[in-house]
Amino acid sequence: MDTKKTILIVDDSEFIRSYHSYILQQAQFQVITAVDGSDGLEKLYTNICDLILTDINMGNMHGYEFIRRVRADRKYSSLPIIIVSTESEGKDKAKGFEAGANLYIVKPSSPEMMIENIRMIMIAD
Amino acid sequence: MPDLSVEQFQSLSQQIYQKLGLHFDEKKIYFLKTRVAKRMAALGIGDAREYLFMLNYADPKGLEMQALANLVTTNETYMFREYDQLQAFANHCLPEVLSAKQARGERSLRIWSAGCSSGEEPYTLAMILQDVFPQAQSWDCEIVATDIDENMLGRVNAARYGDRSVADVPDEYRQKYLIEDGDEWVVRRRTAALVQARHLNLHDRMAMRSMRGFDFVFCRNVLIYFDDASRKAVVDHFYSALNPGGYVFLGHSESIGRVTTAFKLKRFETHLVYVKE
Amino acid sequence: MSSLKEHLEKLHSPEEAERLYAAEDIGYLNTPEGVPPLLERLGKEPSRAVRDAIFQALIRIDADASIEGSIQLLESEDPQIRNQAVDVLRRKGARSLPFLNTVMRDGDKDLRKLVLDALSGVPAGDADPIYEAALCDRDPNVVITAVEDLGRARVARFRRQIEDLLLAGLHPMLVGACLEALADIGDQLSLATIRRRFPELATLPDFFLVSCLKALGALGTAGEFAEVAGLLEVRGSHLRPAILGALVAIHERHPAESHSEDLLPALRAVVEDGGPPLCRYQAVRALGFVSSRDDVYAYLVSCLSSPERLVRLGAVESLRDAPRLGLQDLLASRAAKETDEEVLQALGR
Repeated sequence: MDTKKTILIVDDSEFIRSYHSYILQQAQFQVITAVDGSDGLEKLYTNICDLILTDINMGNMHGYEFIRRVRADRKYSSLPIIIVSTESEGKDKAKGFEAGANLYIVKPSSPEMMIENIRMIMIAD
Repeated sequence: MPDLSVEQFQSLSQQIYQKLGLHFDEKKIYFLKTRVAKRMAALGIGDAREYLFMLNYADPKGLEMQALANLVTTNETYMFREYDQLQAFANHCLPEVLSAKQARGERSLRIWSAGCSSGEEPYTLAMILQDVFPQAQSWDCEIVATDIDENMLGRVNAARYGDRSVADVPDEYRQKYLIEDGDEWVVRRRTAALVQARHLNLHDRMAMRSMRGFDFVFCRNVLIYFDDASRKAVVDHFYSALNPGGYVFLGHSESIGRVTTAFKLKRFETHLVYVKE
Repeated sequence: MSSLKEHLEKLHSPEEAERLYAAEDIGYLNTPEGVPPLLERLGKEPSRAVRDAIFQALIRIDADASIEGSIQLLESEDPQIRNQAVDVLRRKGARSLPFLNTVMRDGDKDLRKLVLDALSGVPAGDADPIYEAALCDRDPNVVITAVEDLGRARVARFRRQIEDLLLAGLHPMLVGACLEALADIGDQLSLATIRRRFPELATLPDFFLVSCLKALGALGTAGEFAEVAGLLEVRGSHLRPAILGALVAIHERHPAESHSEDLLPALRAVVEDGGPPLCRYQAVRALGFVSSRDDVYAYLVSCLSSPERLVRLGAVESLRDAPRLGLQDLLASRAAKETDEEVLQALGR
């Protein structure tokens, strides 16, 4: 029996955390949520996560900084990280990949596409 | 008692975490509900939704959040409070800082217990220091215990405590570092000598600037009672007060990450700690 | 001002702490002349702690210059700086509005979203024109943010526009945001609109169902109770908190004896199935509505010996909701065996 994979959702909007949580739970993932990058790091360090879904524009600690700090720890150097952000310029995506993200999805994305992308990355991992 | 639904409880915990940096989980659901009920009764609010809305949108100065904070935190101070955190300090952070100093040929160590109240915390740290680092006597070691209340500082200097304060002191520590005197316990002179009591108001920014060159800052269960701006200012001063590689400890359920991202999160086994890089 | 001059020199000190204190002191001086050098330093300051102190200083300086400066910072490449600029603007409240209006009119989609972030937490009265514009914005994220903020801040006068957006159904995330907002500011007409859009609950995707349930919890009538209760058996267990939340909310506003028939078997199943403790707790509490029934009362009494602490806690609370003769003795006898701190507190009351 497959144990469910756990995804860490990092976003400063309560609605978006809930929205993405339910999409993921319906697709049989377990979910942990964090309100920003700082909270995300604490949650990552105290839980087992198989993938991170993170926003960029968050107060306190933003997404690029969060991703950099995750990647700075060797234990998480290959943990899949997907950015889900409102910013859609090429330069934003380049920044995301530079920080260490594996994929960049522009909000709002369709639930189906999000799940497809997540599954694709998990298989590749 | 007006009831909080699970979602409301989760939303409230989230809010308290974001505004005060305090963690409340389902182990404290009854505790939180009863405190919220008290606040609702005090304000004449019958519906939990109204209270939550008020907390989020009609509490611009954070006064209600403060009122709730006062109810959900205990002011009780006793030795070896929050043992887990002290373990992280004793087993990981302190040895790390000491070996780095030894490698650099430094022989001084300074710890700041900010908001020390009657002194149980700085004396706990003194006991741990002597235990983990017996050479403390030949080094220049100092635990600066500060508080705004002169009466409290008097009690720090007296170094005498009742049973309640020492109830959690492990037996071997009690034997080595405390002396029984009637129904009180006195901190042994060698241990007490490590602690210096000093008056300090954490809001006094000039006085705060004089605090420099520390390897550890402890400020546990104090900042919860401050408003956002003051809390931030105090934590910024802690940052300046610390040497690079120094650690800051707030209460174990308070998260410094809520206040600033200047510190770096580190993990030792199951403990999360924050260090100035 | 010689004092400002001294601080400005220290703002460029090689020592991090000196720069931090300098920024702090410039903030306390509270003079508009302090703003340009602070902004200039921000551009080259490597230390996060000093940047934080610069922003705290901008908040303290009570002048349009700090607002104008923060508006400029909204276009920074660095998200940290953008977010902290938003924080400054938020703290300045209504004073920022004229400047924010301009950005809303002329800025790109990312800037327009930041404008909304700067408004959240500020009473919406003066900001209505910005929200009007945001609800018609061509970028979905701007619209979603506006809907979210208006709902949470309970700005009821926008409910009709939000209902229209719900019906237009331009994007699932926007529909979800509208549902959540209407849960906070909707009225019976909103409920009718929601039911028109979603006549059938059982097959809705989870993320819609949860938001619908919130709205039904806030607005639903006794007529909706059975329909929501029926979901307990057919939907995934992770949806139980949302379903139970809606049932509790509807029952509290429209209590009815008939609710127990719809609910009992499902609630007992939730209590017993070993799912998340918080959910089981919620189900035991929901049984408290109908604890006047003998069978429910007996069941709650049996829950007092559950191995799960939250079930025991819920049982104590629910039994107290409809106390009977002999309850005190029963609870005292439980207290003698109880080891959990919170359950003991509930028993001790």
